[in-house]
Amino acid sequence: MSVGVRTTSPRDLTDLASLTCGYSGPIAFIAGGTDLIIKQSGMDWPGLVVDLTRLSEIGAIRVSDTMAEIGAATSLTAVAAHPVLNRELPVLTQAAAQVGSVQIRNRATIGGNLASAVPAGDLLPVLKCLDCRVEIRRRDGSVQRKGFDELVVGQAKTSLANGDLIARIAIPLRHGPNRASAFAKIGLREVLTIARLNLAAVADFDREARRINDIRLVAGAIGPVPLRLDTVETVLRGRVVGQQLADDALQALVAVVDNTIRGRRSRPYKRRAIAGLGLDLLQGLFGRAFEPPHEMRFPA
Amino acid sequence: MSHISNPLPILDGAEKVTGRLRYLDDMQFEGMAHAQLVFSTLAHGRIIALDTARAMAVPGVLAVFHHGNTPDNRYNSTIWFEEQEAPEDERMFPQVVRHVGDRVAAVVAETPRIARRAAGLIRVEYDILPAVIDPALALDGSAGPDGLAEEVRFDYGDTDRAFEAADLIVDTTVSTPRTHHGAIENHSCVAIPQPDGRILLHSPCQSVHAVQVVCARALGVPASQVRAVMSPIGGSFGGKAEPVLEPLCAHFALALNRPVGLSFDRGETFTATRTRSGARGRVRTAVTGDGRILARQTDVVSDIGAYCTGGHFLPGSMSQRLCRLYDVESQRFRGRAALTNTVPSGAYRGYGSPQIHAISEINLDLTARRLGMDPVAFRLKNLIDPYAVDPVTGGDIGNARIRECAQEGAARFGWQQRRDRDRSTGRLRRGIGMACATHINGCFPGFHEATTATLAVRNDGRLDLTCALHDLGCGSNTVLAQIIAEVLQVAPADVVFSAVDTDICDYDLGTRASRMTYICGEAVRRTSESLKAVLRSTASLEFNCETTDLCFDSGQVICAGQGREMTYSELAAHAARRHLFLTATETYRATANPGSFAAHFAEVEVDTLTGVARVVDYLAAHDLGRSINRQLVSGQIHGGIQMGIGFGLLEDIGLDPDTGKMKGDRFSRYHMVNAPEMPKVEIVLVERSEPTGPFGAKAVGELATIPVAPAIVNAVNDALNTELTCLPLAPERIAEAAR
Repeated sequence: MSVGVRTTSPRDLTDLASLTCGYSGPIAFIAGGTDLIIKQSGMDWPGLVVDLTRLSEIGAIRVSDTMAEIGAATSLTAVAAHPVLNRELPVLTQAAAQVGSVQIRNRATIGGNLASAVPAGDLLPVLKCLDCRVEIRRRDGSVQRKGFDELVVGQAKTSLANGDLIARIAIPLRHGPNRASAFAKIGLREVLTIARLNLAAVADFDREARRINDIRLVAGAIGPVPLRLDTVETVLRGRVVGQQLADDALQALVAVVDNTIRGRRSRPYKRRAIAGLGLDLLQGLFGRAFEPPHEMRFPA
Repeated sequence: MSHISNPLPILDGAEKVTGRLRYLDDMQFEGMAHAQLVFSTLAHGRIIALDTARAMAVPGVLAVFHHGNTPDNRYNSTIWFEEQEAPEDERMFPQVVRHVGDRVAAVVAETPRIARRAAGLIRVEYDILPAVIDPALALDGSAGPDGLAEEVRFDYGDTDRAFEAADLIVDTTVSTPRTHHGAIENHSCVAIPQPDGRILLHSPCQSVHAVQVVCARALGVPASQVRAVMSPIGGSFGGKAEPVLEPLCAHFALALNRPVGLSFDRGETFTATRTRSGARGRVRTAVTGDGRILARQTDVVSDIGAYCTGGHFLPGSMSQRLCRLYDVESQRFRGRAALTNTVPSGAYRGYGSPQIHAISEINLDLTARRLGMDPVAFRLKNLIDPYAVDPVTGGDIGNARIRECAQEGAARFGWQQRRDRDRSTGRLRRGIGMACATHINGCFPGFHEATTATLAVRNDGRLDLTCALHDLGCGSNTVLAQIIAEVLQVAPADVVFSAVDTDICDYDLGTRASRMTYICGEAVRRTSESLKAVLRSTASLEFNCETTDLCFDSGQVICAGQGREMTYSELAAHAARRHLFLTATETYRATANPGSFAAHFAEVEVDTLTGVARVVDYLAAHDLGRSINRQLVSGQIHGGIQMGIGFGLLEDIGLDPDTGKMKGDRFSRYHMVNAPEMPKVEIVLVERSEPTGPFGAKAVGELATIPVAPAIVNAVNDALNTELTCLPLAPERIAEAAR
């Protein structure tokens, strides 16, 4: 770090508040450092860098009957490997396991991924899909809670004020045999790739009747912020999984691309690719109940 | 014991993987100032005003350099010996910038940070000039007369008649991308003025002699005024073959009379050094119904970017490859190098070979398909035989074993079984493809294909090798140490390599043209034999025996008849008393240029919806004469495949057709193949020994990447029954074709 930068390593959240409440300059938080180190290397920056690695309060995962609470400084490796999250929220652990590479996941944190708010961030559509609530510690020590849409307001843009720290991410849990969730992503490579398109879904799925009682579907990397796919949800809701449903779902997904990025050069590709992604997602959600079509009938 | 073919680990490997080796950018030099360049944001423009006042006012700024206060000596950064002639269109800072990333100015300051900040304060005003991004437009005359840097034609046999007689003519146009080398270490240089007025350059380079002569031309001084020393290099692949930073850095240091360092970051290395030239080639192949190639017509345009550099060699280099792989009775070739307002091209693993092989091997595969023939059988009908004569140069191609590569490779890959499998019509489809390739061994009969090496016994019994050997990280010094060890019966680690320094080493052409093992290897083998003769004659005096009574083992000379032995260091001590010194110097000038050959086989799985192709299985069969170090051979082949998959499927710097700006100027937008993407690779070595190579060895390093892209493209076309010819096969292109 350069000469103009001050750094501090608070031991707990109280300590943090006492360090930041009287500070009026710009504040940056560093946990994994996978973004900040690259951005700040060699730059003059006259602010305070707060190291979060000693704050054990925000570095752990707590799961209760109704809620998963993930500390913002939890590494993506820890999220991906958490056995209860794996069982309850596969959409989250699958996405966490596909961010960057092993080295990046060992350092990068869930809070950092959310705070970056970049459109291609893998966890963004997932956290929106899971209807998370974000606990924010303000500079004066007060606590604020925001929903995903209140927090992520634009491309790489959040509503966080200077000194606001994402402390925890709370995700409501819904139990029962019907729950299903999945994540799918297209990148150029298997690892260390930035998503060109991704999908997250949570469903209430009656396995016996093979019926989708309810579903939430969110797409990432298609607009400045993750996009809830209401039109596709409507097509899927209440339907029985099968060939006809797959065809209709793919039609609806293609229509989403057509409507969302109408003038873009990437449209012809993404409208085809989203069909492949949709198939991956349906297979992830419904497993053996969903058989991919033998002959591809690609929507016109 | 024999040191040949041993899988000896790379000699400086431990130092590298433990992070103890210091690269140039890690080093501190006393009193060093730091330079930061300012780059053109326009593809073509005349600088009409340059406001440096705000930059000069920053405390710690020492100087600002630009076209108005630097030498206007014209040079070409590709030359490697003093009298070499090449189009001289470069200067340190041009007034007319020719590409986005061209050099506008430089700030030299006390720290890199100050230099960077001040560089951001320089304001440039341009007269915008029309820019030519498309090489076809550069050649059609509309952009002025300067678009053509070089044209090469050849014509042998009666091509017209063969085309009339043909049963089938297959006409294909293939284009290949501009790509970035992606060496781990970015470009870097340090220049230090010497007390005697000379300038010392530390540079991670491929030839200190090239650095010396290029800097001398740029500075307008005799080469003797420039001393170049190679610093440890973190990869090059051709990217550091041409001195880009060195002339500038030398001038800054001399002007300020203090050491100056200049290091590029990744973005600068992308946009302001060199790339692989782009190519667009049309091939028409005339065949008989039973698959005999009668004739071929090839027309290739290479996009060499804004400055000539070595681009004028490309058409000739490409033409040569077309005559050394298949036995074709008549061929017509036209190759042109086009200057465009884009980042310059330069050396890049294979120097035109990956491009021309992609063009010709994709065409041959489509020809086999239209003939209804197996691609392997079709190639076997036409591949060249050992010692065939290259119809253009008249030289022979050596012990060429491409047929064995194709046959043994196909058998081991299970080519036939894989071909006979049922084809899926679903979303994921598999396909197989293969390609053959050849590459050269050195520059013979071209300029200055020579190396001088000196080998001497040290007091401690180890051997001093003095030679300008530029190991670019692939372990060539390890291979040379094995060759010396084999001749002189010492341990490879007992060979001590001299600094690569123009003040110490005799002339060497540098690491290029796949010449390290074949040329430098033969040079050190001959030098070792000479030293062995010196040891033999000296020992016969000491032991008072016939030279034929002596043998060599474990660093000792042994006279079996007398039951006496002496270590090389003891012998050296005895010899010194007679004023004899155990040293030998040899200059080796190449007399041949055999081909190295390879046949590569790939299986791919293509997602017809997302357009993503993955290479799932791979086999590389190589004729390399004989391997000196199997582990390093395997490493070269793996690395070549990694690079070739990128060339075929992913990599493209993405020049904007209007602005000439590079879209893929960072690794988040320029995807190379990483370890999890690599297929399982099987290697088949065809080791039939090349008589002119050291212990029968030929090159492998550049060749390893040449057949990869066409083998993969052919596999994708097999999977989808398509005729994709525009590389790389990015998901967009595959998805579109699969529609």
